[in-house]
Amino acid sequence: MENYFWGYKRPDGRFGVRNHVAIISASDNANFIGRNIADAVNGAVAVPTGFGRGEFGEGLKQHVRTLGGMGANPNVYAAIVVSLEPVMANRVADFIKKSGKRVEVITSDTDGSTIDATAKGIKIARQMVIDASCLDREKVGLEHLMLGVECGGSDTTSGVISNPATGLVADKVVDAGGTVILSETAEWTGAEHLLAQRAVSEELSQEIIEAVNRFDVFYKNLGVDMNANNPSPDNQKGGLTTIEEKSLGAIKKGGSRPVQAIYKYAEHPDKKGLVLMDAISAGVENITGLAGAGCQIIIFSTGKGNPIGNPVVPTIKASGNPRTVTLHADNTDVDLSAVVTEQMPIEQAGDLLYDEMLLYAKGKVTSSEVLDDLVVSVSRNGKYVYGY
Amino acid sequence: MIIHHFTKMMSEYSNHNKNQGGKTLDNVIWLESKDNVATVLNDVEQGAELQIGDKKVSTTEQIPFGHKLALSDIPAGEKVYKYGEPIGMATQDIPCGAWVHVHNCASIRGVAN
Repeated sequence: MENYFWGYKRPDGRFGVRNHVAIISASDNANFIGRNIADAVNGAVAVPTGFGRGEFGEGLKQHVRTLGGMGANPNVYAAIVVSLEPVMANRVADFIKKSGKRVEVITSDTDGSTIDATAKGIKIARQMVIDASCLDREKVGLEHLMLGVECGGSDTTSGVISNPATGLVADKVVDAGGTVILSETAEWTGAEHLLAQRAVSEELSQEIIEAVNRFDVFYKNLGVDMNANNPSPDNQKGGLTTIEEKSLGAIKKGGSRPVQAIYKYAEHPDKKGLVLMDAISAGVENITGLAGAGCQIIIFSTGKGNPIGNPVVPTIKASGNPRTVTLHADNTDVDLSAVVTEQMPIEQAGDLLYDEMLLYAKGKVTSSEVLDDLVVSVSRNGKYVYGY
Repeated sequence: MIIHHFTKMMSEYSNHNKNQGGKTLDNVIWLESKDNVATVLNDVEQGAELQIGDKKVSTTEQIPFGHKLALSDIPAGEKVYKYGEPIGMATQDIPCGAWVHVHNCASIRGVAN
């Protein structure tokens, strides 16, 4: 079994599996300009955002860390940050600059009208793409890989097929010295004791339990009992009855190795092995956090199907539901339904998914990449302060 | 390891139920020996005779794809186990072979907190 991938070396020593020029909006009012630039230049991807004005405190830090983290992500060769004004643009650009890569800033304040700002962006992006195209991939070990695991549109097959198969891939990456990020805190509820038991210290074990309780209290203070409202109606239709059942299936995608640390949303892990990211479970928000943290690849396990991907991180859709892989064939990257239809052993499903992951790392395009179904949502969950 | 157990159960089950004479194979996953529910991976009719491990269970109603059936009588107030862990509590007496879902099983975390 192969234990290496082909990556583009970056100035900070990380390796990308894509070679994107990212056009990152630092605020919502720059999305149109950012999209115009990305649409005009082959090889450039738009990373739009909501909000970005009137951000303070923890919310501001999270906004900058996430967008900056996507720019710093090794899958990005160089970035252009677009904004209404230079203050927010430079916050994001400065974050990206720490990775040593080329960053340019375009703002309406300094560069003028939509047409003028767009034209300037196109000229810069054009040259960045040409420069990026001169790079070759290098063969590197899996210790340089950071894999994000996500599940969305869950049904029973997620917990018994695609999540356990993803977990087997996660174990292989960890055993080879790489990093795996498991997230979706609310969906550890009822299974958090199992993660806590695998924590490398008593302190971390306690932090995991507290993270789950914090989510619970946060929602209760808003008058919502999350555990009575999750699984969602579509999860329930798929056969999931309670949050405990969903969680016990959800944590399977993280594999079985010891838990090394827990991090904030979109925080770059400084430890290798299996780590946790304390974040909301909603698919787009969560994979945006995984991309911001620096994952080069995301395996997105789904039961009932989900079309989206992240613009800078290839998002591999894997499903074990025979109906979903037919109905959503165009959105499915790895079909694991043979576990149902042909009694394929789960270990074999894990091997299949691992081999496919390495192919996607090598450059095979995912369905969300080829269909351009790429979306971003920086989480607003947590202690947000609004200026307006 | 749950995953190995799951595979074993799958293959044991398929050995008991070789598809013969064009008869539909009912596909059931019983994850852990402690579990008092199993998951069906096809729509199962009422009155279907299922061989699950060394147990024979007759379904008392239709069980939809991806849903669970009781492998024993589960009295109201007793825990429902899947993955070898409690996934909730029976809110009414659940007979062996019945469909187990939101109508007769509730989250312990959602209710107790």
